[in-house]
Amino acid sequence: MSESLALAWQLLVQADATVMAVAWRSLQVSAWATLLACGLGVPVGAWLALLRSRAKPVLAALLGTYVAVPAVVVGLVAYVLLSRSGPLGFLGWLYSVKAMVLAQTLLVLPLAAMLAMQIVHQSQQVVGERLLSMGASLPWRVLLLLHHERRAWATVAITCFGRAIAEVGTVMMVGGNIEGFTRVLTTAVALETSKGNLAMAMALGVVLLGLVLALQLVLLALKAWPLGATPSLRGPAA
Amino acid sequence: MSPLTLHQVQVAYGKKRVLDVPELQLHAGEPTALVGPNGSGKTTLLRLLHGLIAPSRGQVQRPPVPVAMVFQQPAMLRLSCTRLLWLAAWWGSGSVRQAAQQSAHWLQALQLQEVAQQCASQLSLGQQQRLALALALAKQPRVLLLDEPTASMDAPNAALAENTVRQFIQHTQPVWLVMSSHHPQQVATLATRVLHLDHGRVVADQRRALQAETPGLR
Amino acid sequence: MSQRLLRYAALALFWVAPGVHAAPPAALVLASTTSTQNSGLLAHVLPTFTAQTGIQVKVVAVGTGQAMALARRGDADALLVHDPQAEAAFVGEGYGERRLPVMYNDFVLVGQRADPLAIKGRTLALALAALAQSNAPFVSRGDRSGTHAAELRFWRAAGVEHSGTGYMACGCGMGAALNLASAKSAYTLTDRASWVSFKNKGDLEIVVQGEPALFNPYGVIVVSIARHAHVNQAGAQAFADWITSAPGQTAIANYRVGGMQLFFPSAK
Repeated sequence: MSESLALAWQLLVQADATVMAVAWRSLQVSAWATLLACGLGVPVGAWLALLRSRAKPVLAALLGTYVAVPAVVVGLVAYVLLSRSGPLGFLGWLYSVKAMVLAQTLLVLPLAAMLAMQIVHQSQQVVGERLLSMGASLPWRVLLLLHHERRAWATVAITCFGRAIAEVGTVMMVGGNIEGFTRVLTTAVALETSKGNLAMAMALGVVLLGLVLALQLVLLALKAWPLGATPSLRGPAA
Repeated sequence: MSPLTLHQVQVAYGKKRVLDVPELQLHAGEPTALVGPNGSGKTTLLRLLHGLIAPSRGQVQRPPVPVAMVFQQPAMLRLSCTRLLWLAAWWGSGSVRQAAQQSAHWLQALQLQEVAQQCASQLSLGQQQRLALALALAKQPRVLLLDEPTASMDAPNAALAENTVRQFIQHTQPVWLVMSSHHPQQVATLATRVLHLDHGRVVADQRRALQAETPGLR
Repeated sequence: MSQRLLRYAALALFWVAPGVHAAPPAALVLASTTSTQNSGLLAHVLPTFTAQTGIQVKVVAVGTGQAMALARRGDADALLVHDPQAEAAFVGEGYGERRLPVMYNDFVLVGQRADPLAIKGRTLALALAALAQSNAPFVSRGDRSGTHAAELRFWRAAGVEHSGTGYMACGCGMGAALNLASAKSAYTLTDRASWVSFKNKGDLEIVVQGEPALFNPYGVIVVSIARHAHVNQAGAQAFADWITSAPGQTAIANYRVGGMQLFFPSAK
């Protein structure tokens, strides 16, 4: 264990080029996947929360099931879609970063939607009703409730990002763990493990954890800034 | 104009029946107050009149006019008052120009200029209730439903609110006003018809003349 | 609002960084086995190929079975695998035009240093017979890889069927299988290259080696453009030509780990 930590420290401090490239790729893929998944999933979740239809509990159950699908299965589905013999084969995205972003987006999309649904559901019962009474149409209610709960979205994004960057099933399937092209931290850990290189595998794992921690701290800092303004005077800006 | 009518209406949540009104007609120009202990069904009746809930049995007939309601708990958005008012006015009128006009008017009428740029959810409860009233009026409704609208207001603000409502129903015709209240003075000076509710039923239905307001007396 | 903008701007910066954009045009997708990758052979040999031809090679290292499935779906341009029967079937079905021999090494049977079944030094057939009747742990790849196909061939050739309770089919790559064998002090069949470069041997060592039956040949197949029109035939053919000609064969021959040559060129 201590050998791994020492190795991890060495890799970070010396900014080992290969490891840095792999880490950067991990960040990019998961950041993009989070952005896309939240951009699409959060409004869908909000809409679901506001839905007044008999289909609603069924849809909610389907969503919950989708959240629970294992990463490797999502990867398999994405692979079948993107394979040359598959419907999206013409895109030629297989074994590229684009495929990995797509696959991870598919993975965390239901998570973003479910969290958004839960968050909006709480406020829609009261605030949503006030909006309804005021005459707001459904798109307006979705928009305004999303805005109303804006403080929660950063947390949703972090949760999705954490799930995305930590998974190996989807990116392995559609990325192929190709050195120099689609290798990310998690697939690198898997590879080093399969080579019996356990110390290196662990060190890469530590690098991954360090990344996630660093991101958490950055976002914490962003939330706390600006300081000193009293709530009632701040209000929402433009 | 056809009246607001309830016919054989029952509202039940599971086995619990919260409202039972065989027949009720509410007329425009006859401001009506709902009085009764907590849990007697006043809020349910108001929400039913609005159309937020459907009766478990019976029919509610509403004239095809805009309805606005002031709820017991304000529950404001995290949005500035001016923006919120503008949206309410815009949804009510469909015109950007009228929206600006209406929102400015009601902001002033309810003396909310000082807090206009503040986040609505950060206002004090009394301020939020005044804002709620402004939002309702900015919709230019013909049916105005008020659920204990001045419960959290101090005396001067309550008087301001009551006067605003009074002026509104005097200058707008025809208007249905239905309000629930625990203040006898408020009821006496605003309503010409008083419905007493108890355990979901209308147990008394009084009509009388408006009492003149006595400033300072609550 | 401004802090939200900043957050989004920070995320948008990721887009500007390289790596998100498509791979260079002439890249070749080579589906190969875990043994060629994990042993370090491809990392040694491919850069020379790229330097000489300018063609980037994207290696997807999975088991032979999966590699062939990929190629059948048109997701690979060329194969470098080690299952002669499966390769012949692949070509026979028209997915590849021909199979060219590239290199060989050998399989070895590894097991506990203490060797409780006294297998060391025996012939393969006798060793397998002893294993088949005991409950000693044995790890099988179980994943339709070249190594797995070879293992099944060896059981058949020895005329035995493993009936003990120690048979563990992990359905995993060579590395994972070796990790499992190491942890359980189990016997397992592996190719020499993977074994030599494996860093978690535990108390395992080679117990059976050197028989002709353990010969492990690798072949290269270009995926037929008749089956999948989009295949990078030029790149795949260039690779097949290169690896079976002098420069490629030399590169294979001078790959060593710990002074030991792991793969032996065999192109004609």
